[in-house]
Amino acid sequence: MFARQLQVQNVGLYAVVIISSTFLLFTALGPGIIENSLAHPLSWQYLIFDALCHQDTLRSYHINMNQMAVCSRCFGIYSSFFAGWLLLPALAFIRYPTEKLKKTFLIAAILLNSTDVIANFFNVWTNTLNSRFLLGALLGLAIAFFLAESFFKQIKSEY
Amino acid sequence: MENEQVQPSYWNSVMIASLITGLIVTILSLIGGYMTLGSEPAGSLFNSAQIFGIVGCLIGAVGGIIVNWHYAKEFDITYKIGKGALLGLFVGVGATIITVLLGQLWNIIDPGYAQAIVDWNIANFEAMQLPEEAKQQSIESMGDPHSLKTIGVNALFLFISLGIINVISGMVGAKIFASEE
Repeated sequence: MFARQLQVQNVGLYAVVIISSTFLLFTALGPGIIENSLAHPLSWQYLIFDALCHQDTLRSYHINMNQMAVCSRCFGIYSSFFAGWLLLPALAFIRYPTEKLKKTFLIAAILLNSTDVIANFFNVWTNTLNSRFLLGALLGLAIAFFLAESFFKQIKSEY
Repeated sequence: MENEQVQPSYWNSVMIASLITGLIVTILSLIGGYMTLGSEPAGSLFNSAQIFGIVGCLIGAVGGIIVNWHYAKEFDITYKIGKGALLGLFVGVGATIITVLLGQLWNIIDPGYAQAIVDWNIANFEAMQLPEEAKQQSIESMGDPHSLKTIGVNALFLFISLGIINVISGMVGAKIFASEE
């Protein structure tokens, strides 16, 4: 008979990433999450992501009239990475896909996003706020799942 | 298991990755800045000239990948994912320092650049549909771009974003290039 057990490793790092990704997600939501009125254009949320995201008004969601601190694609990445990261222990009880499959998923997500950016740039097609969000979300999830087994591993033990 | 017998220094890899990341962030920032200066302040929160930055989205995260690729391939070693995260964090620090230094160097090459960006932002604030008080507050908050306080605050914000992002990309890099499994 076999029993399935959860092997947990790198707990400290897992916790650090939870805290960091929570902070990233909260910051990415922008000043609109804490302010009802039009926020300061140089709010700390915007400044933190200044070097990481183009922060184009037309390509970003808004909360309470305030633009988020990142574009919709980046918001998809941060939010789904956060969700995926939180779900890692639970997902460990489900049969994991193989490492090769997870790597393929990650590469596919990167290629899909790159293709979307390039195709939109050259007017092959026009992407939307939501399509960019969804493709970004795919990438964020793929990153979390790719790293999953370094933190939670399902092991079979005989008894 | 971590390769305990060989513990080569990773600082060379960290410096190379920091330099590349810092250069990329600085170049994209400068191109975006000059494109902004070449456009009219329209009163939007961020100018459409920043469209160039689309290619720069998350490009600052490459440091964590590069450092692990270089370190693992240079010494042909494997190590734990935590070390990959640590290398990513170091690159976040290094890239921040490089970006700040290059920014200061650019101020010597083009002394009017930083002030021109401030002036453009002030004109942009004035074109915004903001209450007069908020406009004034925004303009006053711009401060002197050359002051130590402004440089320090900008460096801190840059480190927060580059640090966290490169810790995550550092883990991905370690898993790809230095996995013990």
